[in-house]
Amino acid sequence: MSGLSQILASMVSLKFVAQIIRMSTGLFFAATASFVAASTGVGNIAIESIMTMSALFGVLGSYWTQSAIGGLVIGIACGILMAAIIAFFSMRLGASPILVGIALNTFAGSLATFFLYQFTGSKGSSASLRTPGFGSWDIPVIKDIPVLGEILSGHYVLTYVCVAVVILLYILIFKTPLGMRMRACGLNADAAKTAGINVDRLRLLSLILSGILSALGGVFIALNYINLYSSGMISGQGWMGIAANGIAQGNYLSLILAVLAFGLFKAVAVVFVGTEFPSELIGSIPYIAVFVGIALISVINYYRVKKGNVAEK
Amino acid sequence: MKKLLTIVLAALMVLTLAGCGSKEAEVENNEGEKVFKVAMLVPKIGDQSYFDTMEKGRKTADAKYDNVETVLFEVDPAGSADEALWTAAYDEVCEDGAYDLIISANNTYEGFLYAAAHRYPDQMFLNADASTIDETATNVLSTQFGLDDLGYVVGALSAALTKTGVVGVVVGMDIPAMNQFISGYCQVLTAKDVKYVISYPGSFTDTALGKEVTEKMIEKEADVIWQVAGGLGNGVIEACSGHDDVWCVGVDQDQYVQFEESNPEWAATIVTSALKNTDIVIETVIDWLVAGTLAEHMGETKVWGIADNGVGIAENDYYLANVSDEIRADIAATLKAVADGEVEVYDCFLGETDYENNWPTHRDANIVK
Repeated sequence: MSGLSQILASMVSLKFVAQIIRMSTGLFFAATASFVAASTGVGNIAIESIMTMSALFGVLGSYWTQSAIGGLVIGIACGILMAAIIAFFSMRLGASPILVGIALNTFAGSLATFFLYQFTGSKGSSASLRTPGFGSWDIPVIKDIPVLGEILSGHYVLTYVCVAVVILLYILIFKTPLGMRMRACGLNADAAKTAGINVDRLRLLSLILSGILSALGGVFIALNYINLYSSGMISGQGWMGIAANGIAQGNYLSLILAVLAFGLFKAVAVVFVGTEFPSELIGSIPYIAVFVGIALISVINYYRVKKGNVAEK
Repeated sequence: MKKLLTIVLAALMVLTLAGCGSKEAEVENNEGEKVFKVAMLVPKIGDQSYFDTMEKGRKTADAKYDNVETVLFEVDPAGSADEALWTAAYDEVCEDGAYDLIISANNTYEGFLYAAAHRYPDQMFLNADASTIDETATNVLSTQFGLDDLGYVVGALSAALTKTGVVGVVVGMDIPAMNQFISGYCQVLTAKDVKYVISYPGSFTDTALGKEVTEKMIEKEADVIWQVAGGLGNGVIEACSGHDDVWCVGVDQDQYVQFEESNPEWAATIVTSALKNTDIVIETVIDWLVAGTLAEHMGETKVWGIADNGVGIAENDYYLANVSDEIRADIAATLKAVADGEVEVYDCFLGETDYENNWPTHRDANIVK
């Protein structure tokens, strides 16, 4: 199989590394969005729909203001609004956040199409709108260093924002008193309440943060990666982020590794497109990776519980 | 309150009865001509591609004749292909014979049309883009496109434009109806000994994936890339626009015109587009309806090729400015040769009898894996 060796050769290249970084960025936003909501014990499963709506409103915002930053602001506002809807229904009205999430996911796709049609007259894409996007960033000095420059420089602007967000979120959750209180809500809300922590306020905060991160993911895809809104373009990235968080189970390093693994498998799938391997099988590689990852974690947990190292949750 | 309810209900009943009465009569316009009523059933319009092209044909025909009245039904905006939904929609338009012709299309929804044709044998139907034809339905005109011919011309153009000797095509899914686009394409490229890359991303929506697979094709030195992949194709155009020496060929409608105003950078990479003129089909069939000859065509399957303007390439100003006179003359000659039947174009979908065995060999003849 000479084809296979060729494929393997193309994977050991700097271009492939760059490709993994491109394909992981959206997943990182989605996974951190899921992580921050879960840290206070609320499950935000509406990430896919928030990304869809923010992608659309990011593009519309960019059109209205004729600036990428304007698009980003409006996209984030849309994410905050949707997070607030989840918070209102689940915390004020007592609905299950999972059900509210299902409701949002069910109607967001059609609602996005409705808005798209209202503002552009098209139901397929925002092709008729002139929308300034973010573009890439060549870091001065570093870009001229061989190898390192190629790895670090020339990525999308929002990819660098993503790296900053991942670091800042780690500091917030694990290194600040606020983060410690947030995690306390997630571990045992009643105990946290007894200790004088305002659980509802922290959950609202984490949901809003989750909305902002999801929105960043949507805006990244529609204003930086592709620079156009096209129906269905999020294509399950929000769900993969939730799966990455499921695998990580509160461990930040595992979260990062899980996302990178998914990004790697997505990139591998692309390498296999156009080879003799059947396309249907290749298309399912990232999803099989998700499935295997989750199954692996369950098995590991089962044995840890059996050994008595960890109390069963 | 009760009184109000009674009045409302009574009014509703009267209206319903009135509605029943008016549909039965033969409709005439104010000049006394018979008015032809045409219904078009699509899931939804506004996709800037397939169904919008059909809508364009409907509107053109509507504007062309005083005595043609067309109605658009957006049956299934969610694209659910729910049988109950479509059956109900067909029952509504067929039931009292108010329409002379009912139009629909697309491989996902055509099954409902044939089912309705069997339930209403006196109704005339047009399947404007047929994939699986039900030959027992004698009251349906099924039309297909010479996509093999179209692909042949795109292939010839790609071969003329490439500098690296490698070209490529992104096909949404590996299914016969989609492969019909590239069967003539592979044939002409193999004949001219130009290498080609084929990508099947397995999706029509995942724009990011479209971009990534195109980047991979460009890595394999493809410098003229055709997209046949719906919304995912936007990602293909995006990827091509990032490389100065790569051309992209659009599909279905003139994509240069689509992006000319809104995204000049994208437009600048689209040398031409492979057109599938469903609107011409609808227009022509309504012409036949008005002329009274449509009934003769019922039960037929007609292929719309280059000669009938069913398929072709967009010869806009950008194409004229960027493709040399010689190449254009050569492409014009190819179009004519194909239209006249001088070239026998391989068709994996309409012509091929042993798809499973013959198609892969044909496709892979000069492929770059």
